[in-house]
Amino acid sequence: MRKWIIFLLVAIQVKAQKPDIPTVSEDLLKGANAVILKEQTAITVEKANKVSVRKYRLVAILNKQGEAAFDTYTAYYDAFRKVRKLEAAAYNTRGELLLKSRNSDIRDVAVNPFDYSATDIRVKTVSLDRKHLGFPYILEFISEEESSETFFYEDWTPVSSLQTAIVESTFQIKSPVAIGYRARTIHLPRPSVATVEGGWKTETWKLENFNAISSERFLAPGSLPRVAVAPLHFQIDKYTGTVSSWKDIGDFYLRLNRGRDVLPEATREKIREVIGGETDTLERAKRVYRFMQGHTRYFNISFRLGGWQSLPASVVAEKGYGDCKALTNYTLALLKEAGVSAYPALVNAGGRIPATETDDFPQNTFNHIIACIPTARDTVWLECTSQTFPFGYLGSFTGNRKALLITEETSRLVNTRSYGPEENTLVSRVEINLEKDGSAEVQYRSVYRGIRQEEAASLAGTKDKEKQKRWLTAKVRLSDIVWDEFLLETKGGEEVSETGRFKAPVGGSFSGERFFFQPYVLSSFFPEDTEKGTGDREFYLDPNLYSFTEADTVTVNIPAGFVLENKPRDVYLETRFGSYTSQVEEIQPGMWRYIRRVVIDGGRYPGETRQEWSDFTRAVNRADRQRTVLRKTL
Amino acid sequence: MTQFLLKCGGVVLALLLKFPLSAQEQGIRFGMVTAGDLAQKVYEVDPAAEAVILYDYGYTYFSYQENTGIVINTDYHVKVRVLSENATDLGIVNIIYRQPQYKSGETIADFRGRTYRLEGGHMRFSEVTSKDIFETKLEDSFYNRKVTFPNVTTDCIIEYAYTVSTPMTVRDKPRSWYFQTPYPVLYSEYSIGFPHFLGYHMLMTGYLPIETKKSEKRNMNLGHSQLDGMGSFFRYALENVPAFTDEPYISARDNFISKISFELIEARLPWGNPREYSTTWNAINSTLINSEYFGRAILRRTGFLKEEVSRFKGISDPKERLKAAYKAWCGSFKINDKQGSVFIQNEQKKVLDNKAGTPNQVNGLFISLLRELDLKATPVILSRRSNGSINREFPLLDSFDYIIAKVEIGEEPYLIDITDKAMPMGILPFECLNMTGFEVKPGGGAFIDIIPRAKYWETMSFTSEIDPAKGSVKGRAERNYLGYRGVEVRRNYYTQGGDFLPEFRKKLGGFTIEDLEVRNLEDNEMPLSAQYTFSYSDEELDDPDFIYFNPMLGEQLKKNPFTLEERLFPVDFGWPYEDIFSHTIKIPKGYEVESLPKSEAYALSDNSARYTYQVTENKEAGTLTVVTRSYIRKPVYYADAYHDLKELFSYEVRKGNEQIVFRKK
Repeated sequence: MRKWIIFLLVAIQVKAQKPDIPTVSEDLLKGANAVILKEQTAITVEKANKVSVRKYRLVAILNKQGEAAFDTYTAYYDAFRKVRKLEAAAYNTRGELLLKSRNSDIRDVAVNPFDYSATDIRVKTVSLDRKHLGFPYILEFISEEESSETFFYEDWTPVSSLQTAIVESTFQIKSPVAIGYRARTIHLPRPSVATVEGGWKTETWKLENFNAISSERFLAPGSLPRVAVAPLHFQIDKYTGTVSSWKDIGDFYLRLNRGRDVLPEATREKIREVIGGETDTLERAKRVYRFMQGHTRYFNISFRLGGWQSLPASVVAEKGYGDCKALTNYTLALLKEAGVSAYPALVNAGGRIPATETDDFPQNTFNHIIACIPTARDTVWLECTSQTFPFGYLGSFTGNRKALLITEETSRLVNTRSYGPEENTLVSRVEINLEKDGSAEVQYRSVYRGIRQEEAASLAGTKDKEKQKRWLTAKVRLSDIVWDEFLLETKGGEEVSETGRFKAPVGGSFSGERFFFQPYVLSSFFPEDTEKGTGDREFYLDPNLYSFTEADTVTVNIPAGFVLENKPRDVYLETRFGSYTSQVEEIQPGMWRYIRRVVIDGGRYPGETRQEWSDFTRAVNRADRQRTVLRKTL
Repeated sequence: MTQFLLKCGGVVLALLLKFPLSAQEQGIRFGMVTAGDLAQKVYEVDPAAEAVILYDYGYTYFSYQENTGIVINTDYHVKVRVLSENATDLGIVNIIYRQPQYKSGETIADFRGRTYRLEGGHMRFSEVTSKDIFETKLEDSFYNRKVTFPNVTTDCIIEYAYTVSTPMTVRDKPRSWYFQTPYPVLYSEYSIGFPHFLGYHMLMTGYLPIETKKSEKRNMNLGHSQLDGMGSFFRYALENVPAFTDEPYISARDNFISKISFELIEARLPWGNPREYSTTWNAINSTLINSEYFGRAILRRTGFLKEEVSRFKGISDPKERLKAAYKAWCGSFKINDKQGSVFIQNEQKKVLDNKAGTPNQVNGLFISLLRELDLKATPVILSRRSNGSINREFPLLDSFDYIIAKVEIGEEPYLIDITDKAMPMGILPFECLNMTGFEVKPGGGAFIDIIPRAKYWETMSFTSEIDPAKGSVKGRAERNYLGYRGVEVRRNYYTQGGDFLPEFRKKLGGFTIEDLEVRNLEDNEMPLSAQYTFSYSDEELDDPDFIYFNPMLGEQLKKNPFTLEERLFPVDFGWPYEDIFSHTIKIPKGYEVESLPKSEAYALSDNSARYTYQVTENKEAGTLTVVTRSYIRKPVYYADAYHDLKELFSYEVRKGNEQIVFRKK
């Protein structure tokens, strides 16, 4: 042991040379908190069941934010992966060594130890934060990881942080020709360089002089440089195979989970009870889904192969918990018992819709699984980890994207449910009674649908009335309102209705004889977008956020003794992103109607349209703020 | 604040009470759950509760174990009624325990757990098995035992019981008992039996009247003849405890939640010398002064500061010397903030070499420097807001978590913290503004009041001109950010990577800002100011018959920060606040004034908070000037002032919406 340590020390000392510090051009420093001077990622497929990854990073830290982004280097590990080496060093800008990591700089912690999971995933981190180093300074990190699982290779994504410029970053993959690998280059200015020598194939990619990106708010997924890599032959635990198509990935999933859908007799009995004499497939499925939601909850147990393989359906039946794999597998077993054909579908879940650039590059980058029931009329998708989702609802978590539908015959990518401006709607009817003293009584009903109902549904699901009230109050543009009543309720399916009545002591403001008010009192459009875009990348309006229709009809009753002096002008805006209209008309003396309608279609737009969007948000905000002016007639 | 706490939280000193003997304490038996319990879905304590703690029981007793020594054991027994999907996370129980490498650690014994539910009118239960239990190594010597209960649904009861045994070498006092939780509790009971040779302070805090069910002398058997004997037994209970919820502007959760906590004050073991822990403030003072980890680290002369001392020694005026040292050192250390005690690791040379350390090490080092610069500097210990407040009646060293410097120069001593680059000298960070500090001083320490030495204030002055021919407004602005507002703006500036504009963009979306000139950004002692020109265009201004113009330029308070109808806890702003706005508007050419907002004011009855709105017309110059001023002088208001404060903000919102009307001539 002791000898080994000494040997290691010698090895480090030999390697401790001055790193080459390149000069960084003025242009690259623009908007950068840190500059990656040199980064190398090298994957070596040593054999069918061994992949090693060596990483090297030399990064110049320019300020505090750069420090926060880069001062800690992490390496995850679990039963299949090991961290062989993790080191850090700090240099001044002349390349002179300031500090070197020692054992006490390395932390080894459990990942999310208190959440809904029990896993073997841990993380080692190294940081030199014990010493204050004046800016700018340079950090060097070296890591070596080794994996005995070769089903998943990590993609190369050289642009990993915002406000970070890159001088040079390279990626290399090396494999015996007999094993091979697959790779796909995305948004890199230059193709790879490949060589074959002595039975090994080596391929290298390089990114140079990349300017810092300021914000990812309107950045389309998949628009940054990336090399997607995937195995041809793999081994994980005792499973081996080849993978070159979506079908192969699906087949492997089936293999891993074969025989895990056996239900205990008691559960089968219960399902038969639940189904009774129902013959309609969709209705049977609904009953099964409701049963599953009422008997399970999410808890993720993943040790070793458990990260890939479902807990058997019998365990879920006994324990009433499982992760997405376990609960989907269990739901599919229940559906099978109910005579409903259904399939698992792997998906990349999350609020941010995944990139489409690798739709024709089969690789296992999925993080979630759902169930799919193809029916004659329509395809029904089931999220099995939620106790509250309506039957068939996917929403922003897994909607608007592709999923790998797994079938015995041919697993393939298919679209999940799409949620566009027709699905994501908010329709409000508001009545405002203005009083002589300027106060207002407001009653309204709003109906939310599609992704627009998600937040409202989670509020409707709580028993906490105060929490509901806070949420409702925050949306109203008037101050100091007092609620007479309100009700948030989910209306079967994917709809939430909100009704309310409140008094506002200040419905507008007096100034001498005049009274000013804004008829648009509920919710509000996006604030003006004041960021300046560069226009060199696609401009992206995330459909989960930006695809919707809002329709408001506001009736305003004006007290006797007032006449209208100035009404908001009618506004019609028509852009490539969508449209906005607002109109005010007098229906009868003392009664005015304000009608507002916004339709936005999220998605990808040319980079140069960013300014158009910015102008649009400004125009909408201005239109929404228009005031109506009344005057006392004495 | 202190007074307020005393009013609401009683304090009991254990050990002095004598009562007759009674039998060993037992809670209710495990497994006493019926179908009737599951039928109940609404509880009077809170009909809208998503979960109710039906029973929360704890009993702490001491024992002796060979090789380990004295052990503090606590039996826990909990029953939870889950009533909503939002509460199913109560089906995960995390028990954190410590197992240091070279000594006996904590153990968890006899864990039992069950989930009860109704199925077709019959009660069924699932037992927790080893498959539901997971051990995770956290960091250092800490571990987590995670239990995930089987078959937790939106309508079930969870029951569990276990015993934690903690050697006193790992932790010398029982864990705090919380009568209040995020969910309402039907019945919470905590009992503790102290052996005769250990003395503890018991501190009760919170608003709720904790009932003393028993307080008596009892024979205690610890498993060692020299330790057995008459001890003191207490039992406390609380019924129908409402859920604890946070409100905006409260100082610290721990000040308000109902709980009992403990502090070891003396140990008289039959072997070894009796040990007294801090029992009086004087004792605390000398404990600190003599400690290797406080006084010896901070108050003793060192050799390694020589070079730093020589940088400032030459400045003859003490105040200037202090200023120079502060300017050079403030914000120049890297702060690793992960401590909970005023004791520091005595590695001050390393702190200086690395320019990095905990806030207490860094402030401690600064005190050493000042002392070697022949300044009258002493350490002051305090409790940061997040750590709860200090009770002057009860000497508890554990309640403190922070060190600042006190420097006596002239009449008013300076209180100094050097961890934040944006702070002027003598201004303490918000977190330190927690009423009470204790000055540690050879010859006797003393309390000092910690009062905010600065306001949070801003002055704004605008001039503008409306051009109806172009439909635009343009003007000049000068803003001064003072006191804590200056600190905030400077800090934002640093975290935004040295860009000042976001500060404006946030507020003034539609404005075009040009010729921005910022002054005194680097000099914390001078008022930070910004000047710029602004402009915006608006179709509504485009040659109308009437121009409606809000003179507040978007700077007005738009919504009342107080939305609750009633409030239980004091309103704690932390500091006094002031805001002065003035705007001089040129009357547009071809227009005359049709109507103006009224000059008015609103104030709290004691005038400690006030808002004024004033409009004046200067006929000669053809201008209007609007001046608004709002201030709040007291950092903390009791809850009974809540309605008046809410009304004040409401008034401010209303006035801020008012318009000037110009009519076309």
